[in-house]
Amino acid sequence: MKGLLSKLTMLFAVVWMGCVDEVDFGVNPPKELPYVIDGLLTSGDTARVSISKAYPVDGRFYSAPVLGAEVRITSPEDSDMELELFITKGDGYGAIYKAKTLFVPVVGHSYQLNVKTADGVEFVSTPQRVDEAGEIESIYFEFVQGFDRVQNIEQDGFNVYVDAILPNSQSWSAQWKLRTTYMVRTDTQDCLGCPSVCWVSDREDKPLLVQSKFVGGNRVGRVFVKYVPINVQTLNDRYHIEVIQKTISNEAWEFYDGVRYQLENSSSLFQPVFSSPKGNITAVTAEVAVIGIFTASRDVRKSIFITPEDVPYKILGVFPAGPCTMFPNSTTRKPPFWN
Amino acid sequence: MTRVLFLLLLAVSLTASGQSVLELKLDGSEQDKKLTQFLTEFERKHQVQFFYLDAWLTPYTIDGNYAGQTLSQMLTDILRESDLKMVLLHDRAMTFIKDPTYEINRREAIQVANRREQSIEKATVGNPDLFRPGRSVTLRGRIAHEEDNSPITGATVVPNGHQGTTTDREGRYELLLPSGRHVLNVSFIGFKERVIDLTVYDNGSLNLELQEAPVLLEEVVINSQPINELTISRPGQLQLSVGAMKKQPALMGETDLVRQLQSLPGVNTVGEAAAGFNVRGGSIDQNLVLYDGLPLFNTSHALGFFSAFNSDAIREMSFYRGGIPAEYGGRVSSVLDIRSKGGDPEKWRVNGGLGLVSANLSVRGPIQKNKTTFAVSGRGTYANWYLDLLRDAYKDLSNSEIGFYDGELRIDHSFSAESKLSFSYYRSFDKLRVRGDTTFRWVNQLGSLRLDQIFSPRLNASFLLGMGDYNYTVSNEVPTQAFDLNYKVTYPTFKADFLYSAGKHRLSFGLQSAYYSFQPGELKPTSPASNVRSITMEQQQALESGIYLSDSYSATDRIVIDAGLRLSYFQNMGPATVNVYDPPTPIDDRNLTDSIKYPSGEPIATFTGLEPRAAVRYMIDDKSSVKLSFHRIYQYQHLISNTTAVTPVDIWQPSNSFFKPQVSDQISFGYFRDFKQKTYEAYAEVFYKSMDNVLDFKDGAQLILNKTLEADLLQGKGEAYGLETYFSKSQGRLTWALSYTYSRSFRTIRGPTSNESINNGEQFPSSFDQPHMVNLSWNYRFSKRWSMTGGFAYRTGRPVTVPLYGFTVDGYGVAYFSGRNQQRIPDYHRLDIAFVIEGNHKLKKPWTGSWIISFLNVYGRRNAYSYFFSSSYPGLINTYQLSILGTIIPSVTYNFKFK
Repeated sequence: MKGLLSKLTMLFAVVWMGCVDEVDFGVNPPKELPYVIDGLLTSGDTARVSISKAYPVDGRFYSAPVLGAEVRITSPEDSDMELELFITKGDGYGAIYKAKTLFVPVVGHSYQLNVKTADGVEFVSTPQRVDEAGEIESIYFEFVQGFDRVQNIEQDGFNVYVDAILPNSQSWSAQWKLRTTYMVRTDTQDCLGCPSVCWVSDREDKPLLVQSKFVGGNRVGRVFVKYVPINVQTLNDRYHIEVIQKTISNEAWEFYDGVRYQLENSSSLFQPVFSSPKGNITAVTAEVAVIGIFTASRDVRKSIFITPEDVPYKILGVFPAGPCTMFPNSTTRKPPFWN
Repeated sequence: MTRVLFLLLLAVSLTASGQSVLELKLDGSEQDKKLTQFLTEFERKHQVQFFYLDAWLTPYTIDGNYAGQTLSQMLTDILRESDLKMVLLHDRAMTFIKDPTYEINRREAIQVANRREQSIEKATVGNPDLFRPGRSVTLRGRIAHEEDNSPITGATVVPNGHQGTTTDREGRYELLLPSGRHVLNVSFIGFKERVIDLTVYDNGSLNLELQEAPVLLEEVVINSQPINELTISRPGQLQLSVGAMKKQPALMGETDLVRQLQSLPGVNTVGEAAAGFNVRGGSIDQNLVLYDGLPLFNTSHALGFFSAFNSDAIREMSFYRGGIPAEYGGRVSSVLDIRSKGGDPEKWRVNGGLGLVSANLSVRGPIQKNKTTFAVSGRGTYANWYLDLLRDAYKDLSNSEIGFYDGELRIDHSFSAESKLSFSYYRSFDKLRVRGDTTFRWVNQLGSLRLDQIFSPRLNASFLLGMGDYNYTVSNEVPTQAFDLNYKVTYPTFKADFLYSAGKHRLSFGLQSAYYSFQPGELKPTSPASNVRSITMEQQQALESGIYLSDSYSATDRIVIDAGLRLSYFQNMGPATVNVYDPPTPIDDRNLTDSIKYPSGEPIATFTGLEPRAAVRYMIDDKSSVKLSFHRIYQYQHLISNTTAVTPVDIWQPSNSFFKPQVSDQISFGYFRDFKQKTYEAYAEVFYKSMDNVLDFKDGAQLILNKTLEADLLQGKGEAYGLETYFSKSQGRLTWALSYTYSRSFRTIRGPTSNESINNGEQFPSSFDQPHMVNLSWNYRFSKRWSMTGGFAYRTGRPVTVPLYGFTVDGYGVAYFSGRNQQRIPDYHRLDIAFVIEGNHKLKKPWTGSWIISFLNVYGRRNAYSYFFSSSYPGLINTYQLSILGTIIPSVTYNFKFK
């Protein structure tokens, strides 16, 4: 609500020659940055836990990985699951621990994340009870004429929506995640040996959430999930959208809602005072700061393609020069669903 | 010299007294004789001599029978209240002398008036037959606006340039003077001063009308200048002139009364175009803004860019930031009492203005001459015209809309000179739409019927019956999300205020009561395809009442004591459902176990507050005074906002079983001084304010449609203190005012658990803590028609909460924030100037007009309105500031008035 009012203020500012400047408050970060633990147990992927340290606000981005940790997911109903160090990304995303095999969490069972770092600090999550994920009825899209405010040019696109059915229980907290993929082509005349075709992946811009207390019944229609701009890159071939639907615990939902609120309102000109989202993981052996969230859920998935034929006109444009891997999150490996 | 001679003679009389003429006995034959005749006969009979001026004693007649008494006893009795003294020269001779102080002051006042080329009018009061020179008599009267005979509150009435008084809310004044000749200076900021050569024979009344100053006064009054600080008995009380404000630079030429208020010492704001104002470390909801006696919930148009008041519809504004009188209650920091203009009882008047974003028009006149008058005014924006111009360049603005208007209607009917009935109606409306999706509308309307009744010269009263309404609607038109969110508060109000004057006492007493009905939120889907669930927050009801008694007592010529007591009462009542938490603390959604239903009218929570108020003024001499004040105020309604700058969609929450009333104590002390016959004025004031039960929100609180709001709010303590200084020059070609304020404002929210504390329970600066504030305003008159006004403001940057470090979860870059308000934005400073060009004042010209050409932010300072940050994927956090006025802003306004 206030975000919209904030846009109005910005509108006034534009009208009356306001301006935006970067500002540096010269904040000194704390000497000991907190641990950041991000754990995910879902039916569609192998269990995964990322462990790192928070990063200072000084123009650099580097989440120091926490290596050598013992990571387990326990359950009173199922056997414990050990996770092993899978990868330490070189770009500062922290250390990622993964389960060896896919484990499908059972509806009605509870799961708990346990972490013990190499220097003996232990963390534990609250138990997360798994609920039904519901059903994705349909994914569909609509052509919209639009405008790119940054470049001040016409920019058409597609709005993508989801119709969903959530569990028929009195209260539920739902989250949608997106995986989008499109094929890009580049001009490599001056770049011999460069790959000219890549697949670029993307995701949702912010947590997509809805809770039963805001919806009448358990059917949610026309949930806006993505805007797909139309250009020679995104619809050179096709645009693939996969929607993942799950239900999560109330406290996990509130954590992500806090993230959503911050992402949506960080640019609010009325200056909301933000919370730092409170997770469900605490340190048990020492007074150590930690920000952590663990979710356990079943999920359901559905996907569609948007094709150039869906665009009411022929898309014109010039392929950019250079290797196609210049696009962020791109790969030359063709995804299995592309055929 | 004259005074020295007088004292010498007085000394001689004291030392020379003994067996003398004064001890001679009288035989009763003197009864009913003129005093001069008796003295002549007495001289002959007893071979004594009297020296006097005939004019001094001629008015006296010996009314009583003094047989057997001494001459001294008789003369003492007759001359008891006069300024004449008897001085014994020797046993057989005596002289009458007169205290020359009044005469000296009178002559000085005339000299000052002559120097200023002011015309001096003659007036007499009382029956000459009852004239006794020097006898104390009471002069009463009423000071009114020349145009519409509406009373002027706070006008000063000063006899002989010394120790005057100010008019009350009905424009009435009362002075105790020795009968005889005086010079009376009557003035009010923005009005032409009147100088009266007055002869007072006996008790009587003198009503005067003041004419609004044409722009080209000999003395142009500085914007918002507090008037006659020396003689007002309360520190922190200001009377503001709308006329003077209109000559100041203004954003897009829109005279903004609230913005002008922010230039006063002790008043600040969180941002350049933020709504409302903060007074002495208090939050915005702690200001009581009254329009014709009814509280106003929203004072801004267009999110805070303009004030919601049409300056042409306002007669006067009284502003109290300390020593708040007992008649006001319900807000702990300040009172802004706005009175609308009435109609002209004799002829029609039309005035208006054309600015870059809005236009206004006012029409006032008689319905029935000298009996019934009306005043109607309106103001509207054509800001959409701007948007149309910009749409080609900024296509994103298509379907966006900015609209606002306000309108005022007032009808006055005089049944007699003692009885007047007034109807007042005010409405402000705003509509904003962003890119066709969501529309915001908010409306504030007030209507009141007021009866002013004079029961006797000593007792008058006013009775008010009114209704207030504030509501907003947010509408979304996207079919799947279509909704209306409504919020509404209504408040029928009754007031009865009495004023009783008795000698040195001026008693105010009365009662006030308002029934508040809140609809805290109602969400309704507005299309069949909408996913939105209908949510209706439970209505809340509360009764707020108060009775008060206050006395303004002129203990001596130099000491005035204002003391009062207010008893406030507040009851939150059913029907309502109150949540029950187990355990009772912490109040958290997870501890919600039950609820209690209260039937209609049943009390849920009741509060009473005893609110002492006191102010003392001591005139050290004719040029300086000191003032001390104390007040305690209870506040039962709270604005709930989780943003630094409040918005129209914030909600008001009455006190209940979870939210205790706010209580504030404030003490202030000030020293005031005039220099060079009031050419210069200076004052310094210190204050300390404590506040209990101030409401704050938990970090990240969601406030709208929250059925467990108490779980997201916290109460704590507030503290503010400061020093305010002010210097001004109010006469001559160049007039100016300079103020410097040092003040601090803190909050402490400490609960039993960390979840119920902010900043770990440690004290933190409030969002409007700006230690150093400097304001300079001036007016320079080039010629009869040209003048330049301007203002410069400096403020320490206000506190903000900024990202301390970042982290990434699930691929989202998220910021972790520092403790509340631990950093500051850059300091604020700005220079504005305006050129005022008056039209000529030819008698035959049907109208007069003036051009005001403003340049805001002359040197293009980019002051932060707010800061925000972007958390760019995957992790970098950049912080930005938005400046509303990023460059120099020129504007032009034309104001006109038909004669």
